[in-house]
Order: sequence, then structure tokens, then C-alpha cells
Amino acid sequence: MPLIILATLAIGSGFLNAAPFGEKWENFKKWVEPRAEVVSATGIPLPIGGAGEVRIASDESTDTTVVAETETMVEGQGEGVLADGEPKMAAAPGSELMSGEATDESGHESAHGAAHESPCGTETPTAGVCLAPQLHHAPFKWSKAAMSMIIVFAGMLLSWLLCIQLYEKKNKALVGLTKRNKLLGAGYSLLINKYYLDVLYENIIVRSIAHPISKGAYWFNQNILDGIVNGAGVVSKTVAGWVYRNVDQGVVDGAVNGAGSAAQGAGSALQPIQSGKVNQYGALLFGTAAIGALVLVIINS
Amino acid sequence: MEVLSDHNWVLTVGTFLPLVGVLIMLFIPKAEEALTKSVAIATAVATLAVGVYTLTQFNYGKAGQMQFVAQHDWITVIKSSYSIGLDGISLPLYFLSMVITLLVMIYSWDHVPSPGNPKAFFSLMLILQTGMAGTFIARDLILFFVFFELVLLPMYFMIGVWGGENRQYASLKFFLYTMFGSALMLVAFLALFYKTGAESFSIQFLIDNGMNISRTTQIWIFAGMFVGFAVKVPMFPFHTWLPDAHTQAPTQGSVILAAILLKLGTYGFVRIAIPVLPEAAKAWAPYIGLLAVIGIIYGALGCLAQTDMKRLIAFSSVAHMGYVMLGISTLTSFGMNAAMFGMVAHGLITGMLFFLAGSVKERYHTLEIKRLSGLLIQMPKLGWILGFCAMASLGLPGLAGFWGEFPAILSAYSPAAGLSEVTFRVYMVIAAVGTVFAAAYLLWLYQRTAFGEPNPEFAAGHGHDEDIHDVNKFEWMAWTPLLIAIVVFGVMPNIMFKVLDPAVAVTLKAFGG
Repeated sequence: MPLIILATLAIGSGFLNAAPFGEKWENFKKWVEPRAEVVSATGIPLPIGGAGEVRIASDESTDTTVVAETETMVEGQGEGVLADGEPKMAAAPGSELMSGEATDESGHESAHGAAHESPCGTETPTAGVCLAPQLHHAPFKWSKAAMSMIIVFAGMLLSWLLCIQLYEKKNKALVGLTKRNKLLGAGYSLLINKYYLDVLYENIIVRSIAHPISKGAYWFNQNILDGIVNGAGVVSKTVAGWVYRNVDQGVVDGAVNGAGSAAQGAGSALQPIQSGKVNQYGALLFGTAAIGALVLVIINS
Repeated sequence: MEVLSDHNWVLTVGTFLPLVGVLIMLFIPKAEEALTKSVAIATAVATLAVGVYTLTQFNYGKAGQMQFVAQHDWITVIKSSYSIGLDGISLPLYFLSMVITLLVMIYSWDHVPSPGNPKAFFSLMLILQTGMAGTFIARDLILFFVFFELVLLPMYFMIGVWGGENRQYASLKFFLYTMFGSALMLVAFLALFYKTGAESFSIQFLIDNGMNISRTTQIWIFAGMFVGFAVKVPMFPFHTWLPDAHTQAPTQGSVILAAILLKLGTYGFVRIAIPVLPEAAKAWAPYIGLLAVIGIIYGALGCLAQTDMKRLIAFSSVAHMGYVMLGISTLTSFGMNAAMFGMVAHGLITGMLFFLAGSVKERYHTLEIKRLSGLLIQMPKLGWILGFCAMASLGLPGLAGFWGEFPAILSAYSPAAGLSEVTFRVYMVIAAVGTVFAAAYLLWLYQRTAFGEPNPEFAAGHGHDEDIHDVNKFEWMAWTPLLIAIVVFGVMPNIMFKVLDPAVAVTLKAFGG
């Protein structure tokens, strides 16, 4: 069943890209070709002074992205790129530039207003250029295709003959050959083990990644990264405990308690002056005011 | 920037409606479990209806602009305002949060984890929904921060109360780790506020003025935000809270965590850090990309080493969010689109995987890969769904995961102008290798759990027959929408890309489009 599906797909794709019938059948080529895009003319690194290949797009090109209009862009914007007014294209190697507004000095069809086959399609700008990669497709040659087909058919024929000899006629020379000949035996076990790719994946790649590396990464996660987090927690808790015991209970609360005791002490020390005698209070008030005034005088002088 | 303020009540209603549901639930006696659940689900349905209405009213032709914008004074002393809006970047995530919350609630109908108390459990999910939706619509940094933090609390209780054996440790780690990130993020927000003249916390104002901050200062401010968001994503090496939180959280918590909460971090990068501080973003991009690809490979290796199914899925999140961050770090519209798509796809797929893990745990009372086998024989439907989700997660073309992963890798080929092409192309190759690992750990997981004969200890007649049954109707109701979405977005990714793209273009204006 999978083989049938594969064969159907192969036939289908073969028709989609049937090279012998000419360019228009080569759909894949069209689909996978890089699209041209519109860019601002100033944004392209142009080879100044004729460096690099100057390419003229012309009718003889088989390239589907090449437009047969000649392009004299850059005139008047890239100083020194085109000095002689020839309808040449300054092209970065591997790319081709086309202006939307062909000035048409070389006698090609004018693009003005006409619907034209630009790789930029309708997006062809009035200002700026159209940048498309330069493509070289190998042309289809019957000779080359025939050669590969002959090789394929020869292979088919050979294997068919071998199979007949081996399975139908049980040829003595062939039966058990892979067991007698070491080289062929090695080839046989290479094939039967699918080039050992599964062994490579399962035993080497998977074992080395799924087991030691992932375990190592997880160990790092649990012990180092999480260790830092938990460590930060433990350290904060320890610091907090120390601060609470020594600073809060010792110093701050000590100060509060101290203030309380001080107030208490001062209170009992001052008890005698709370005698209830108004004149004594008056004297105290006056005395305090006098001291206050004295302090003010001293500070201000 | 021009904004649209038609129908500007929909976002406020859509965001705060869940809280109204919570208020109603407060008056229902605890013993009335079915009524509590019904009210909660009805609230979620109503919220989603508002969400659907938002979808229909959204102007898709102007997806790049903020829509449904509402603006009111809020805390005038610190110049923070209640400013909300929605554009093409927030819309998918905002809507996804509503869908996920509803589906999780439907799933919870007969899956309330021990120790029960559906009233509290459903209330927390509704509060969580408000926090998530609010984060995606906030247009003011203080408002964003409030919603961002609001999300933490319900999740802390969900893990801490309804979680697994090691829940206390996991919930505290999750909370403190994220708070640590948030603290630095808040400092960065304040620095941004003062450096732009202490005039406004509005994100749009900061985008307009952030570029005037000197480059060095930008880089430092970005660093603060980076830590805050990277912890949430989570990016290597700030990810270690995630496997613990996911493993210990109840199924519902894991699903919401994976589907939405992780996206708050990546969303923060896209919405705030990158557009506000473009210079710093450029300076940081190669390092973000580096951590992203380390995360991809490292997360995958972590997966290969796991013996617990849920923990494996948790580690796969590290790898998948690596792809998202790689896309973001290219600072190109292509990469950013891929990242946004990847966020939604990861939400759907990994959410589904956590649902499945939860259901397997419920039936077998274990998630140890060694003890599970032959799921396809005992539960053919669940086994097939697991296979489907594993394929989606490894990025099979035609399913949603592909459109997050593949374009993200491709975008690294040509990063934004000013970033090193060589560096990013190396990242591209590493990320591509990561897809092979993804296939390896997911298929290996599938092979070990679903294929083969069932483990004799769970075979028929060993006392597990009552528990082991195929997908039930609540599971079907919760899962079908996700499964359909995975296929639909896989076949027609453009329905999301065309919403995302205009908004991404606006976000990347500072980078020349």
C-alpha cells in the first residue's frame, strides 16, 4: 500500500514537472524559484565603476524571471554607476535589477502603461527597482536523460536476471554467496541493517542524549538552579532570624523598652514636684521659660 | 495615537463581571454545592457572552488601534488613571482567558479536588479571571501592575490549598519568586515614571516619551522589567518555580497557569518593555534570544529526564515559551506575530495536555510514566486525544502549534536592523534542533503511556475498575472547544494573524516597521 501511494505521487509529480515538454510544464521550477521583490533603488549595493558583471537582460534569456525590457534605472541617481548612457544594467553579482519605468533606449518594447511580464508583477514600482536573483537552470537534454534512463533500466534488468537465477533456478553459484564471500557478506548485513542508521539513532544518539545529557541537565536544574533559589530562601530566613533576635529584639525593642524604662524612671524622679501647690507650679513654669529663653539667646548670639 | 471609544463599557463589564458572581456566591450557604457551582458557571458564561460581544463589535479593519477605550481619573495623586483598551494583540489573549476559565469550571463540575469546598474554589477562579482579563486591557502601568499582582493571590491559594503533597513549598515558591520579579518590575515602572517627567503612568504617554531617556538608563530600566516578566514567562534560568507549581497545582490551576498566566510575562514584553524602551530592547535582544534558545534545548532535555507525566508537560512549557521569546527577541513583525500566535497556541495545547494529565491522575492515582501503559487499550478515546495533543504540541503542520513554532524559528533568520544576523542565525539552527527534541520527548511519552499492554496492577479486577473509565461528558464539554480550536487555527492561522499583524506593526513602529 505505501508503495502504491508513493508510485502515484511520483507519477503525479512527474507530470507536474515534465521537463521534455518544455518550460511551461516545469511547474516545480516556477514554484520554487525565488520571487523578485521591489526594493528602493538606494538600498542596493551597486558595484561602482563597473566592478562586477554587467548584465543586459535580453530576449534570448530563457530565465522566466528576466524581463525583456531593458532597464536604465540608476540614471541620475547613482553617481558614477552609469556614465555613458548605455542601456546597461548595473547588477550586483547574482542579482538583476529592473526599473519599472524603462526609458527604452535599446529599441525594446516600451513598458509604459502596458501590461508587462515583470517578475515583480503588478508591484513593479514607478520609482525604485525590482530585484530578482539571477538563475541558471540547466536546459533539458535528451542525451543526458537517456543516459540516466539507460542506467536505470540496466539496473532493473540485471536485478531481474539475478533474481531469476537466484530464486527460480536456484543457481549454485549464487545461492549462499553472501555467506561464502566476506565482502558480499558485509554488504549484505549493511543492507539488512538499513545501513545501521537505526542503530546510530537508537543506540548512539538517543542513548547519549536521552539518558546522560538530559539527566545531567535535570540534575543541574534541581541542584544548581533550584539550589540557588532554595539557598536564597534559606539565607533570607537565616538572616531574618538573626536580625530578629539581635537587631529587632536586642536593639530596636531594647530601645523601645529602654524608652519605657526611662519614662518610668523620669516619672518617679519627677514625682516629688507634683505637689499640687500652684505657686510651686508657677515657679517651675517661670524657671523653665527662663531656661528656654537663655538657650534661645545663646543659640542666636 | 488615535483611539476608538465606542461601546467602552464592554471591557469594564467583561473584566469585573466575575467579581459580581463572587459577590452573589458569598450569600449562598457553603452546603449548597450545586447552586454555588451553577452560579459560578453562569457568571463565566455571562462573561464569555460579553467577550463574544466584544469580538463582534471589534473593528477588525483597525486592529492596530486601541478600541473600546475608557478613561477615568483614578489615583490622581500619583497620576495614575483607570485607562483600558483593547487592540489586536490583546484581543486573542483577553478572549482566551474567558474561554479557558469557563472550560476549566465546566471540568470542575465533577472534578473538585480534595479537600473540596467548591464555593471557595470557584470564587478563586472567578477572581483569577478578573485579574487575567484586566492585565490584558490595562493601558496604565499602575493598573497593569495591580491586575498583574491580583492574579498571584488566587493562584497561591489554589496551589496551597488544593494542591498535591508538596503544595506548601510549591505555592510559597511560586508566590515569592513572582513577587521578587514584580518588585524589580515596579522599581522599573517608577524609574520610567520619573525619567519621563513624572507626568503620567499611561503606557501610550510612556511610549511617546520613553525614547528620550538616555540609552544607559533605558538599559537599566529594561533590566528591571526583564526580570519581572522573565520570571513570569518563565525564561531560563528563572523557571524553577514552574515545574513545582505545575506539578503540585490542581489540574484546574495547572491549566490556567499554562494557558494564561505564563502569557502575562510575554505580553508584558510586547506591550510595555519593547515599545517603551526601544533602544534598550535592541541592546537586550541578543541576550533574550540566547536565553530563549537555551530554554528551548534545556527545557527539552529536562523533559527527557522526567519520570512524571505532569512534570514533563511543565518542562515542555519552558521549551515552548522559549520559541515565543525567540520570536519576540528578533524585534521583527514576523517574529512578534509568531510569538503572539505561539502564546495562544501554547495556551490551547498545553492547557489540553494538563487537562489530560489531570484526568489520568484521577483514574490511576499516579502520573508516574513507568507505571502507566496501554492507555489506548483501557481508554481509547482519551488515548487518542493525548496522541492528538502530543502531535499538536510538537508542532505538527496543520495544527495550531506549528504556527507558533515554525515562523518563530524562521524569523530568527533575519532579525531587525541593528541586530547581528550571525548570532540570530545560530539561534535559528539551535531552535530548529529543539523541534527534534520536542518530537522525541512527546512521542516517547506517548509511546510509554499509551502503547503496549496496560500495567497489570491496573488491569481489570484489581480494584481500579470503578475509576478507570473513558472520557466522561464534562470532560467532553470542556475539551471539545479546545480540540476544535487547535485544528481551526492550525488550518486557518490567518484568522488570528490578520488581527495580530496591524497591532504588531504599531508596536514595532520604533524599529521602522
